[in-house]
Amino acid sequence: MSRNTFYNPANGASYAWQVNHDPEGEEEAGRERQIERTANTGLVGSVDQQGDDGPYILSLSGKILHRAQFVAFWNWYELCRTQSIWFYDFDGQGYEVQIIAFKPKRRGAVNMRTSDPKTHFWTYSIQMRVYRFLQGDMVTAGVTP
Amino acid sequence: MADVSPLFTERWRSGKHIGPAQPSALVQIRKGRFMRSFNSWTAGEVNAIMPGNSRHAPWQATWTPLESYRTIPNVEEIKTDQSFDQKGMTSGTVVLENVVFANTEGLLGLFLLIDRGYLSPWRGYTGGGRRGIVDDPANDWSMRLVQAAQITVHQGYGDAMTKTFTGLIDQVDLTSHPDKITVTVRDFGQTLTDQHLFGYAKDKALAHRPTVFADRLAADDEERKGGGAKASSAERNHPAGFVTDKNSSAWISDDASTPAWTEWIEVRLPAGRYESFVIEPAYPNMAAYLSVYARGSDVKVDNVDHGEGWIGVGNGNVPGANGGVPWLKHISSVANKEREYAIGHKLELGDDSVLRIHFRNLREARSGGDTVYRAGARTLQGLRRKRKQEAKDRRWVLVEDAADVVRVILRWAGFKEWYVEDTGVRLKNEITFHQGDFLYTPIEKLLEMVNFVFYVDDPTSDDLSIGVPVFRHIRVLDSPGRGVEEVRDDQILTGVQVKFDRSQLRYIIRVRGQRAEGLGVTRGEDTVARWEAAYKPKWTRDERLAGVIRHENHYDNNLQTQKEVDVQARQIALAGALRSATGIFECPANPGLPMDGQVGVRDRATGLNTRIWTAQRSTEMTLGERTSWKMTIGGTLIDTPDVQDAINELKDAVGVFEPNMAEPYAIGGTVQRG
Repeated sequence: MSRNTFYNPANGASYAWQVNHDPEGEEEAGRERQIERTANTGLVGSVDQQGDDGPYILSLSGKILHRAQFVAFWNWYELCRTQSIWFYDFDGQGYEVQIIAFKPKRRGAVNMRTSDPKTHFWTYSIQMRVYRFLQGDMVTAGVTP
Repeated sequence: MADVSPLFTERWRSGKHIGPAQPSALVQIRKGRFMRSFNSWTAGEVNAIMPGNSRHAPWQATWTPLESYRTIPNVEEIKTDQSFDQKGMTSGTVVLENVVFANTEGLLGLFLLIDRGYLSPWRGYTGGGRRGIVDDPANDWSMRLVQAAQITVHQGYGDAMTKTFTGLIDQVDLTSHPDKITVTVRDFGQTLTDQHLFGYAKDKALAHRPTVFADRLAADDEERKGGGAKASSAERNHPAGFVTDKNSSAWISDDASTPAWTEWIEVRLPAGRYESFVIEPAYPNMAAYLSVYARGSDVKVDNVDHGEGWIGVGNGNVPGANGGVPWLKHISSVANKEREYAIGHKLELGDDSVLRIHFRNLREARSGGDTVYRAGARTLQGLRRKRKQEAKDRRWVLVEDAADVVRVILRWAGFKEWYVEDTGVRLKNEITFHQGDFLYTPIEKLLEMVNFVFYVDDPTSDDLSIGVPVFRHIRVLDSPGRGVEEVRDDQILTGVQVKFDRSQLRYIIRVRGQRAEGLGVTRGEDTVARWEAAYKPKWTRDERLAGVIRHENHYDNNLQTQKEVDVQARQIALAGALRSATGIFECPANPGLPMDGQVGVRDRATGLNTRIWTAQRSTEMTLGERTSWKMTIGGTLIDTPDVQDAINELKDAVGVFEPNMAEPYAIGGTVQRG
């Protein structure tokens, strides 16, 4: 299976995740039309005014078993302070994103099945706001974020 | 009001501003400045002259853009507010997010560079020996939002947009976390409120003098002129020459057998400017036709060159055997006393020009037992006008109608479009303004005296439009027309807030004018006999004030007749009625709902079914996910019993009148010396 990968389009750097997000670790990702409905004094229907569609947010969660991945995620989070990055998932769906939230939680553990038993790992959630669809189904469908 | 398309109105009325009818806005900025010069004038007519200046190349300011518009990104909110409390001008704010996601080319392709402070006006500026912020170099927005640049806003529903505001940046506020810029703007009415009547802000020739506005005719000295009288016929003992002597002897024509006969009398005029004549007929109620034969090489009629000959203005010829020449003025029935009549045109004549009066509808007389018909006149003179030396030396600005003062001011301020109605009033005295006064001050002075409003309306679609100042009669008095936009309770977003304030209604209104010996009355501690109106409005007579006596006493020394004080009293009553019933409501924004206009409101919840005269409009637009565009309208309720009664009684008092040069008449008092 392909690895989720971050790319820095500015300098070409990339980072393939050591461990992808959990198979059950994806929240709903979609768009929502924002319509402000205001009641009128006649109490007959409403006056509706539409705003911009809500943002497309990718919300993933999973486990980080390698310190390198933990540090890398923080690096990419910091990079997103000043620019967008590209994210290609295991399915080949490509997005231009900004990491807007990264919340790891350290958990204690012992892994007896390796010679290098770990004392802890992280569970995490990561949210990325999508600014552009680069590749995949959303591009085919003609959707813009 | 903004010029809105039928599609805009249809979308507004639908109440469904979604999809292609989603609220939209475009905010643009460009640098520019006012350029001032003497230049040819091609905009609205301004009947004003200044001795020594060409009326065809007056001093004026012109808004001159210095670059093309650029679009301001990241607009989050646009607010505007306009009311008569703010002199009818619009102020507003535009809030921008000061973070730009800029498309940037990288090694792998395009990506977004997140730049905080991108729109900051002082970005990249270093002064006082300080080091710059490395990561924040200057960009093409540096020093842009800090200048008094022109901001123009288009708003609408989807692609049905209209220009809703144009003005200059007044103030910029910056915050961080969140990174926002708030730009405060005001419309171009600020050229009236911020510029003094000093230097080149007004006519260059007046730069270091007081500004004096005067009536063009009152700035003349007048002389009676006329000699060498001739007539179509004359009785032996009543020759034509009697019209130019200084006693009461009269020229009388030969007898005619029918009143439908034409007889004429004429005098010769020396060179000069003539706009009126004086006649005292010997018989009343004759019809009169004025004709003028112009001589000289420099004849002008209404400032247009005219050759020698009878002056015709398209009225046709005088009827009858002794007629047959063009006439300038027709009087259906001459008064039985000496009186000055306006010619209706400005005539600049050469020496030996002729002023001729034809009479018809001759008067019946008895001659030897027979009924005969005659014409006659005791006096016929032209009034030659010459500009007073003081007017020339002090460079008075001479106007026809008082509203021309407004037109002159607007031209100095840089406006090329306006809607200015004549007031029907001539200035009785000159008004002087000094360098401490603003360009708005003369407008304010006129508003105190006539029942007009002033505001700056939305700009037109012309790229150089800086707004349309409006100076006109208050429309609250206008009868409902078919064009009144209705706002119903399925469009009103908040309950209509209505207020009835009885304290604004006066029990009795007394207006006292000038001294009137023998005709006036004294009142209380005022022992001078003055013209007085003591008016109890209908709400008093109908016992709607519970007998609580709230007096209104008003003195105005310029009111010189009973009619003037009567009218003023009823105007005061109307003003109180308008203040007593006010309402405010919110609806989806429609810039086509005008200031000083009438909007119909039907709301079942408050039981209102009335027109509102708009005295205040404000709009608020937020953009982004929570887009909305709303408008609040406030003003006076028109269709209430108190207001309608006051309007009707004012109209009865005003009646019908025709101002003429001999008796300038002013509604609501006259313009005072400043």
